[in-house]
Amino acid sequence: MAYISFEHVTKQYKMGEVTIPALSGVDFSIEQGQLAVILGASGAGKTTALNILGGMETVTSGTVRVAGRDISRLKGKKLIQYRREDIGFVFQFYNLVPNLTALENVELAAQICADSLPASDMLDQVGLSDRKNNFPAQLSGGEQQRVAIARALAKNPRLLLCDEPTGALDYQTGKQILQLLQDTCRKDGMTVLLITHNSAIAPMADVVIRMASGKVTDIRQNAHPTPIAEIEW
Amino acid sequence: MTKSLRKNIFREIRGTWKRFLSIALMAFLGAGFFAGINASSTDMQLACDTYLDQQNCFDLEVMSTLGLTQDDVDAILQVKGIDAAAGAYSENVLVDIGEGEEKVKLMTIPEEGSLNQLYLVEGEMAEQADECVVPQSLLDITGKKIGDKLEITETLEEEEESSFRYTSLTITGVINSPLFIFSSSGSNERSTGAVADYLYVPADNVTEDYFTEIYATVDGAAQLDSFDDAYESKIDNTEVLLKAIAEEREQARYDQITGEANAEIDDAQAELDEEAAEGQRKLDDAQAELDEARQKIQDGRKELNDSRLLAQRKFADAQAQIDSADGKIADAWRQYRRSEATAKKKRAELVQQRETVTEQLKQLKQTRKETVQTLADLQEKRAEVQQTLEELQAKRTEAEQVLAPLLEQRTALADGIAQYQEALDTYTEQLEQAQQAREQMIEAGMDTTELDARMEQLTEAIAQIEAEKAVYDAQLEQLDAGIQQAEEGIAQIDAGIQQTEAGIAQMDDGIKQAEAGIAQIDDGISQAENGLTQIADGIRQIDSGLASGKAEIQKAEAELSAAKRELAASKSKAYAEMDKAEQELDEGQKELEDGIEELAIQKADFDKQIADAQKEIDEAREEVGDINRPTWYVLTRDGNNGISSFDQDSSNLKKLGFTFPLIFFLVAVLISLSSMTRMVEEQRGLIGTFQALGYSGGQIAAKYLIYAATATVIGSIIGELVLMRVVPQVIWDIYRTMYHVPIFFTPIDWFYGTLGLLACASCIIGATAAACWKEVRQMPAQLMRPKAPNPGKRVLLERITPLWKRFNFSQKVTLRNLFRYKKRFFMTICGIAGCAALITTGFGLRDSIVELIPLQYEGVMHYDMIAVTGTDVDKQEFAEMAKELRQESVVKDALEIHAESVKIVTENGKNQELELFVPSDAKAFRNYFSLLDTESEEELTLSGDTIILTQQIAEIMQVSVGDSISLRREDGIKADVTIGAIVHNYLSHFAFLSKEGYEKLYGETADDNAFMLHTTQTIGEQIDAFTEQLNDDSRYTAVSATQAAKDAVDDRFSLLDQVVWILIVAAAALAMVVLYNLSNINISERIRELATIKVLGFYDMEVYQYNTRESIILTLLGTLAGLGGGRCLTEFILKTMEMQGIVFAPTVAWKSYLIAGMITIVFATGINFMSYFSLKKINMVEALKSVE
Repeated sequence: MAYISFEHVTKQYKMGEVTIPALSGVDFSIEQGQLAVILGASGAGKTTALNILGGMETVTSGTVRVAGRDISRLKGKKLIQYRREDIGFVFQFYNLVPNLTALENVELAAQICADSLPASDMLDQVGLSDRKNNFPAQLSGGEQQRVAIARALAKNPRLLLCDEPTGALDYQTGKQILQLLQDTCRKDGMTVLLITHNSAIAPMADVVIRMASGKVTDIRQNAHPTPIAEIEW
Repeated sequence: MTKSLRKNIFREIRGTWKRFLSIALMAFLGAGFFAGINASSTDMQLACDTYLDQQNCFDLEVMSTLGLTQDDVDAILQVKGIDAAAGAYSENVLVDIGEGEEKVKLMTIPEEGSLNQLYLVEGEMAEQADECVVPQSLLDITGKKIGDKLEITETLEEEEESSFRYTSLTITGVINSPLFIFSSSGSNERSTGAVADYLYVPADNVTEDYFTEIYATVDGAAQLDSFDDAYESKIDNTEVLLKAIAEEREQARYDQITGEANAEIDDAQAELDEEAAEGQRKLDDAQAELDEARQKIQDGRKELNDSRLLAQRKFADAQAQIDSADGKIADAWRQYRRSEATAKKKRAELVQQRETVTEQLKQLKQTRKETVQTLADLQEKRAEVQQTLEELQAKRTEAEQVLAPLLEQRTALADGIAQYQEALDTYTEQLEQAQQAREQMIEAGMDTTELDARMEQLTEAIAQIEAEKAVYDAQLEQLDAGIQQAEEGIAQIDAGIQQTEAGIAQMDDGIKQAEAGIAQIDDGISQAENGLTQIADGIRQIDSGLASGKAEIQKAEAELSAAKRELAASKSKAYAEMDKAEQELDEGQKELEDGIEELAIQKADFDKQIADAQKEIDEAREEVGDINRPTWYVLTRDGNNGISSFDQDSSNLKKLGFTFPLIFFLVAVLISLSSMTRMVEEQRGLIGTFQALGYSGGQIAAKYLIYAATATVIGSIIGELVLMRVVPQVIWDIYRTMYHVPIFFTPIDWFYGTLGLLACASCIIGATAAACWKEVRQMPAQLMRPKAPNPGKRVLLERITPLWKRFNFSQKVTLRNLFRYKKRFFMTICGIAGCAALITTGFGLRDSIVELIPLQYEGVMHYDMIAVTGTDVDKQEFAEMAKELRQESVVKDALEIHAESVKIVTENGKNQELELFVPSDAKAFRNYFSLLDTESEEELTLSGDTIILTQQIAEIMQVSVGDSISLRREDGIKADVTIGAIVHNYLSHFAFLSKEGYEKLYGETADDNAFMLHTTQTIGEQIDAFTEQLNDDSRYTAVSATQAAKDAVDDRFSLLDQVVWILIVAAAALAMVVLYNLSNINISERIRELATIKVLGFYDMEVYQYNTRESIILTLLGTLAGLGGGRCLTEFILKTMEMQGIVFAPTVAWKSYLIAGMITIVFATGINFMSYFSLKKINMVEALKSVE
């Protein structure tokens, strides 16, 4: 049984009279501890899939399972609880609270979870030991994204979801971030799901899922993922 | 402007309609309320002015102490500037209102087209002389309706004729009079005896030939606003001219009145003389009649005496005859008594005999009874003894029967015993034989066994037989005893029988003797009975003889007494007749005497009447001589209670209506401004894009300016259009309870409308332009890059580590957020503080207004009434009046004072008229008026030669303690005086001087000319009556009850109080909108942050708290600031509002702070609570969007 599975998932947005299909029957599965990459152009439905998996949207039909639990039927408080305890989310634009220091941003997430990890350790882990008391405005983009990853990991989630984590970063910094994510997956055994439109990143993944027009076009298992350092784009 | 830019603006408005609406709403409230409140007083004055003009209301009014005539009207019309003039008659009359009477002012209906036209509300104008029209308030208190009859009563003085042809009037319609725009309904005035209502009758109904007032209008005055200075100065000019003709007209009226009066008096004198002669003649006739009656009575008395003598003689003869008959009867009685004694003695003897014989007879009967009893006893006993004998014989037979068997048994038994003896003897013999044989055998040595056995058997047999024999012997013995007994019994019975038989023989002898005795007794009885019969006959003979003798004498006696009665009857009848005649005579005598007396009284009366009438005529002559030349009073509309209070009230409103909406306006502008700034900042990326596309800064800014202008102008215009109608209407609805001005309109007030619109638009557009300028100035690239979010900063508090450590994580975040957005921090605090301040001010105004009356009437002014005497009252009369006044039951105590109107003039030329009080007793004065020093707050006592002024006059004159002012009396004499103290006072202006001080200033004493009174009650019939009494007393020129003044002030303030409620409600509405707006800005500014923490998994409640904690702190801070600000604002508004003669003491009660704070906090909490739902609706996908 797969750790994460999408079974015939559809999602439609109703905009007044018009119904826009975002997902039309998506099936895929990811094993625990894998680094998965969803690839697709803009509008392929990858963000929708991520949002559904992150508990930020509900499905129109189909089933989504995480660790054997059907999360597509969760509602209200249960859904928030799922987000709170099972999911770590890394945004494209970091979304740090500008008014909190790096450490406090991590604490913000840590304080709401029962079995959270020490905020300070998390920052050490992402290599920001000496920037803990800086406000986001005083950090570079890569540093902010590290804080965001630390914040996601501090919750000790089952699943780390990353929405174009390198989208706003330069090449070098992006690589560092991807390295950090790959390390987290390898060393801590964290299941990581990453969406990107950059197909060059695909080789680093254990599983590559390609999407187009709300459908999965290809799922490829990668027995030997390429280390980040060797990837070029 | 390009088409796409226009489209952009249009779409922008559609897309952000909430923001657009909120700016428009702010403008609506700010501009609308500002214009609305300000327009209210203008509208009111306009309505009133229009109404007065429409009704052709007077500009000047002339009254005279002796009435006015058509000649006066004509004269007034000649005065330059006078447009029209008309006379009118008015009088106070009483109208029955169910529970008592109500004093109302009756006036004549003006001719059509004339002055002071009535405004017909309902029904028809009165045409006939017996009809009337009344205001609604009079219908309300009398409970009548159109078509009903209304009875009016005049308070007429002696011999005064009614001024009206009809006093029972049919109500034909309901009207309003421009002279009475101040409505009495809902006012307290009724309680204090003032004239509050009125009614109009056609002039035909009035019989008086003079006018009580003449009304006049001034040329061109109608075109001016009655509440304007231009109007006032125009009227003042004409007033001066009008006053100039007063003297001439006064003299003319005086001549007319005295001429008429003298003619009337002469007529009266002639009439009186005639009446006197006629009266004397009547008196003489009466005297003659009385003399005749006296003669008749004397004759009657003589006749009566003669007949009395005759009767006496006749009755004496009759009496003598009766006396002789009496003697004969006495003799007969004596004879009768003698024979009666003898007969009685004989009779007694016979009676004695009868008793003896009767006794004997009784004894014989007794003896006979006893003997018969003895006989019966004997016979009974004999029967008993006979019975005993028979019983004995029977017993004997029985005993013999018992004895016979006994004897037989004995014989049988004796035989039995003999048999046993025989057997015994045999066995004994055998035994002896056996014994002997044994002895032999023993001797023989033979075996005895067999023998022994035999012997033993024998012995046993013997024993058995002996035993049986013993039994029989015993039985025999018993039997013998029984036989002996029986035999003895029989012997005894025989002896008894013998005795009994002897007894019976004896008894038979006794019986025989008794029977012989009874026969003897019976003979004796019959003898005695014969004797008794003889004796009874004897007695009867004696009794009848006596009775017949007595009856004869009694008959004679009865005849005599009848004769006597007859005599007495005829005698008393005769005397009664004579007595009656005498009594009649006496009565006649008395009547005569009464008649004489009465005649004397009538004569005295008559003399007095004539004398009185003469005196009256003399007095009237004197009075006519005393008639003073009349005085004219020329009044403007200020003298009309209704119009002048309307003027004051609408001015008050104007003053109140400026400051308050201004603050309101500022808050609204502040909030719209923050919305616009926010919008510009939000769209910096867009601005950059436009710039990059090559649009100029002006073009870009135009979008925001047009956006803001459209919102503001639309909001303001709609707000002004709506609120300029609604607010004045609402306020008018309040004032309408007090004022009867039947028309009202809410025209657009262009001045305030434009002012509000321009102020509102320029503020918001200006602020938007400033915000745009800041952005447009930057380079496009800079703009397109996301604006560095407001960097997080350490706040000052963090440096205080011990304190900072104590806060938990979220508290720290809250505090840091608070200080991060400084602009929003101040904006929110200002907004909330503004609203809280407005609400507090609303309550503060109420408190201060409500407080004023107790402050003045409980804290300062303590007297219940002040009565000022006329100038012609001298010292002696004043002392008498004081005495009278103190005897009144409603007067508790009184203080004589000197009161006078003076003008104070300062060195810088200001002058002001006020009332000067010089109390006769400075210490007692404290009970009537408290002089509380404004500096030391201590109560002062008047002394020395310095003057004490009240607070407001000192402020108006800009003088303070120690300054010198000039005090000018009405006669023009001036004196300089130093201000000794300034005291608290809230209504009117007063000055106080001590007696010594006054004397020193003017060199003459301040003679007392007024009384300050305390009454036992302040309202009620008694006090009304008392007030009226003083008012009617010509010696007093002015009487005013504190309660009446207080009620009037109370009425006025209750209006203001209600207006303030409108302000409070408006402020609360503003608070609501401001808070909502702030909450929205707050959320939209931080939507990304909030979406992120939602993605992080914050529960809805946690998100709410994260956001709300700041709002709560801001609300609390803002509210606190607002309460303080409200206090200052209250003070400020009251200062600008201070009106002539009124000082408000700014007061905000704790309760008001509490309520104002609560309202703000409740609204803020409500809005916060609503934000919970807005927060819940935030889409988390927002967090994924790129920074704009």
